Amino acid sequence: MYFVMDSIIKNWSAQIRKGYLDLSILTLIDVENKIYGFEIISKLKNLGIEIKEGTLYPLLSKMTNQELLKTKWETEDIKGHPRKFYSLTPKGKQVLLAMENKYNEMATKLEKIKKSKIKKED
Amino acid sequence: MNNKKLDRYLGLMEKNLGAISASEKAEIILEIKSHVLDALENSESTISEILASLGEPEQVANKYLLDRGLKPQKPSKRPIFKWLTIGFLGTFFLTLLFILILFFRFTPLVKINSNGIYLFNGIISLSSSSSNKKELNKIIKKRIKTKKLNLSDILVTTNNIKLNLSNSDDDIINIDCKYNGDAKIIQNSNFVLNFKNSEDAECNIIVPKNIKLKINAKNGKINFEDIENNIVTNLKNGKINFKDIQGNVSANLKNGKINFGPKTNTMYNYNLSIKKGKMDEFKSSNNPNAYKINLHVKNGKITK
Repeated sequence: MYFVMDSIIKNWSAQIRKGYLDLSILTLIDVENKIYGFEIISKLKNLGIEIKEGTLYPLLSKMTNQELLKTKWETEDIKGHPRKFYSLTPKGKQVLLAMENKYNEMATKLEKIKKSKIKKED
Repeated sequence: MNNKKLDRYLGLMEKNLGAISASEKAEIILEIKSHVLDALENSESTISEILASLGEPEQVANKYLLDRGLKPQKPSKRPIFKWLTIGFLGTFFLTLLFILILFFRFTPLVKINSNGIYLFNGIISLSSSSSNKKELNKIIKKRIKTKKLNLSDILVTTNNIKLNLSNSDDDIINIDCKYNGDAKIIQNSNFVLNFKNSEDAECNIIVPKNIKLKINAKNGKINFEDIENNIVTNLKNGKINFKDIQGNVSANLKNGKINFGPKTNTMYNYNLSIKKGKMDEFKSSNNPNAYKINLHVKNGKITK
């Protein structure tokens, strides 16, 4: 019984994840203003959001191509290795805002559904 | 920092990034390398573990391709599969060709006609005649009076022949032949029996005495027995038998055997030649009345 439930939840989580992941990454970049790949992974992991490294980098590349992100290579000091830093473009900020609104809308609607039931029972 | 595993990983990734431009490829590789270096600095993981958590280089490269709307490169199959497929298809088509050839060559499976039973389109034949020859399905039987014709000679030309010649007591040419194909008989100052357009013939011909006989054949056996005629004969391959001849003989045989049986109490002057082969001893006579016997064989024998 629990095995079946487990797989149902797993499937649903996977579906939700995709959209949620994009939103999480854009939000993180917005908050940090300027951040590089390894940092993104570490911070998301600390927040309990698991992402495979092999998935993140291609995704960042895609968002950059979509002009949501802009990039800059920086080296910490003479001895360090170069790192690619990401930050939001104006377009990226707009998209983030739209996503947040959509996300809140969905949460609100969900609440409405619950409340509608309570009303009936009145 | 020098690490074979990392270099190999990055190399594989680069190979699988395919259609992406060189500069973009370089940037991707550099970022992944940068990630690995950060991971090494900031965690206890080994290179292998870090690369494992990145995933297969081909798969990571494919994700880059997919996100750009490009087709991911197919994992290269080992060439053995390609060659196995070629081998299999090749064998299949060769077998098909072989079967087709068999079909056309060996059908009809059974054919029965007046000549016999033929299996597999003639490969196996159970025919009534045991010989290889085509059936001699035509017959000539003729008696020709020659007195009024004033014949100078009788000429027979054939291909493959079994010919027996002997003398008649009168002036009649008696032809009794079995043959296939075509035969021509021409009667004017010489009598011509032409079997050139037939393959095989078997003839018994009785000729009057004292008319010149000219016999030309390709292959076969010619028997002259008890003949009082001058004979000229040319045979390519086969056997010529002379027995009890009273006349001049000129015989040319390319390959085969000439057998000359002299008539008792008759004088012959022999002129024999053989290029390759054996010759028996013949007693030659210098008498001017002796019959001149010229026998020439290229390869073969001249026997008594």
